[in-house]
Amino acid sequence: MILSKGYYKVLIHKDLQKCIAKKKAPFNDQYILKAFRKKVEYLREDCSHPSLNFKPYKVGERVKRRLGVDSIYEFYVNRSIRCLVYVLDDRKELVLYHVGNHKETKLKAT
Amino acid sequence: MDSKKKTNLLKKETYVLYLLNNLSSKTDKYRVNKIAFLTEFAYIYKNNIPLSEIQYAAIDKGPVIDEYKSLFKKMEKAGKIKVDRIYVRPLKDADMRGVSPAMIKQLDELIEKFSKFDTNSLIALTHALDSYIITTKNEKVMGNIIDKSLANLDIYFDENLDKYQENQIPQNQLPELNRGDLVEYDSK
Repeated sequence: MILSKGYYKVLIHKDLQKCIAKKKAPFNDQYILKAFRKKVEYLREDCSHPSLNFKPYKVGERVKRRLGVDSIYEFYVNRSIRCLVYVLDDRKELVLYHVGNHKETKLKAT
Repeated sequence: MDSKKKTNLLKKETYVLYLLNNLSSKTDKYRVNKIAFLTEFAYIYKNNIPLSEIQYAAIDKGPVIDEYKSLFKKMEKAGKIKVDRIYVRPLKDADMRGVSPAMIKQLDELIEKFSKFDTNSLIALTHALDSYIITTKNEKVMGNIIDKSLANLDIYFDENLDKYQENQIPQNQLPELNRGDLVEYDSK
């Protein structure tokens, strides 16, 4: 387990949730959608599951304070699509914030 | 996956025979099935095209060549292989004329990679792949054919993943957390 043990509630940015519900890209691909749902299940159960490649972001403490998070991770949905995860340890929350291509730096959620 | 390139697929018997030519003489049917699946799915992951005409069924023992028993029986009848209880050994060389040297090189590298795993590790590995998990709906539904497009989700096959992960979103572009924008994740 990478995070501290215990149940983490999974929250999601409302735009990302809408994107999934309306099956907009990249979720218009049924396999991407299935894979994403599967990976969120893993995330809930055990974020060290090998299928997630759950890795921490290298960010400074000042940046984390500015963003209001304890740590930042990402996992891979497939080879190019990744999901950014904000971790709030005190609240025991994992926040799915953005899904995009690894080359993509422009964020929809901003 | 690029379906236009499907004309160059290896025939089922050619692929099985080629695998057996490159595996130890003490190869059992479980290893042939697992190595066939892993080699083909890793090949698809890298090239985005299928390798052979074989389809793979997701059963409780993991992915297997669809109808492999009848395929082996047919090959044995044709004098291509010998099946001795669980062991399968080749009696002929696969006819790889017309297969590009680049494809053979990739195939050889993949077979070599997966043949280093013992059978239990191969079984464990195939059970953990998303292509298998999605097809079996978390190991609840057995017998379906694994869609080869699912290979693209099996990031286990990606040797460059760590390099991608170095390419993180710049710190100054990370979005601030606004609790008003958050909702509980709906898994349905």
